[in-house]
Amino acid sequence: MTERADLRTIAAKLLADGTVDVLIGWQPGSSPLSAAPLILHAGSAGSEPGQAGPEALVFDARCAMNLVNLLHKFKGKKVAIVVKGCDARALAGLVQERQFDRNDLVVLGAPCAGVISPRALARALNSDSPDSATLKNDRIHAVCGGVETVVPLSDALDPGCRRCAMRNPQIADWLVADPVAQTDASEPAENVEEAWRMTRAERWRKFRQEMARCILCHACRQVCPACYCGECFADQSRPRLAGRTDDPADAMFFHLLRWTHLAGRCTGCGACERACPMGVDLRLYNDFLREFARTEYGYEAGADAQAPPLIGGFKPDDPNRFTL
Amino acid sequence: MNETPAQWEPKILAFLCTWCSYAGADLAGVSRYQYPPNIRIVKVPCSGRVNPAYILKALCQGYDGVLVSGCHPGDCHYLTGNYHARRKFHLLDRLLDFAGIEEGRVRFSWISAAEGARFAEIMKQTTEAIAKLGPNTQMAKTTVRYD
Repeated sequence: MTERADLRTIAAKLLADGTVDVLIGWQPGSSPLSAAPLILHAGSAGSEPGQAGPEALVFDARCAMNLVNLLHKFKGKKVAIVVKGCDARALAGLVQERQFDRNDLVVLGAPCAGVISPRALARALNSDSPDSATLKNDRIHAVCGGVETVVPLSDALDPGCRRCAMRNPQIADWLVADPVAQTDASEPAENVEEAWRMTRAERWRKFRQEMARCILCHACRQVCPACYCGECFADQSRPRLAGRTDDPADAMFFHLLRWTHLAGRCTGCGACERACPMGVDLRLYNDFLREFARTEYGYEAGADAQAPPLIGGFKPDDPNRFTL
Repeated sequence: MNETPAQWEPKILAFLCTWCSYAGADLAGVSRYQYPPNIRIVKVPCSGRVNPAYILKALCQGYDGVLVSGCHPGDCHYLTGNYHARRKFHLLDRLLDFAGIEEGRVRFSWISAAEGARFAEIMKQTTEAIAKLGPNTQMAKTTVRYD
């Protein structure tokens, strides 16, 4: 049962009537066209002057961050959370992995036609530090070095949002915006197809090049809602499993192993790629993981909270052709 | 490709399930089947115990090849360990292919305790295939520290 509601009104109501202890949403960020998380606690939100309340909540193309990552901090509490389609998939994945009880969550679904990626925005504006920028009717009005420019919003959207197959959240209790038109994304991911058309040596060159760029800051892991292990293998020190030198082999080890952990779990929200300070093409490999799950096992991450997970589940007639 | 020194011999790490492939190795031994001495065996309780991390770490530390061998599907001592392993390894196999790691560096097989001859044969095949690939230059760290 999904009802349409106004974001601020429903947020205020949920906090006031004690339905939830905490509400996680977005507020405008400090830099132009960015959004920051806003965490409201029942009983204290907006009670003091200068403290943000539900009226500070926003949802538009700025709200790129996947807030589901913050949910891990509020385990055991009743939480309302604003999610886009991809975030909702990540959330369903966590319910599937028994990290949260669905009954403890109030999901405020925000249908989303794509979010701004800082890198795409900088490219569209030809500047990575506009003086100001506002979003009006699917156009970005920006001032860069005193000169005003107007670019279509579509130029600044995250490339992954273009072929998004999950614009409308599937597990929402309330919808805080009108549903958006769904694009058909049944065809395989172009980037993955293109990589498969390359020779192994070419794929290796691409992989080597991306890995040589990684500085092992682990920002991708930090923002990932699926990376919630108490101790990550990359931080394990006795014995130390993952090396931390600038040898690309250490980056390869980290990413390859992280991808084995993300298979069937990554929903393609793109949070890791937006968080990466070095512009590593993480999307390509995450898209590969989803293609693998889809084509080999007919599995879609976060699509069914009752299904057994991809890795961890099995069937006696699983593919065997890769063995000797 | 780096030039291969004339005396280079492939170094292969094999994770063998104690209930089947390890016993298969034992049978190969008592049956006096000959196979190349290039493998270093790590006995594991089940192929499902093999974390993909071990395989990747072995490559990083300079092994030229890694072989994982467990019980045939359906024959697991713990009933389902190798089924779980199979999905993990299938993923790793495709992932390494997608990343462009040379074909056959990491290999997976099922060898039962009765298949001593098959064990010797797979060790021979694996050693030959990896010898053909040459030293592992893709993922081996240039400065390996065992800490």
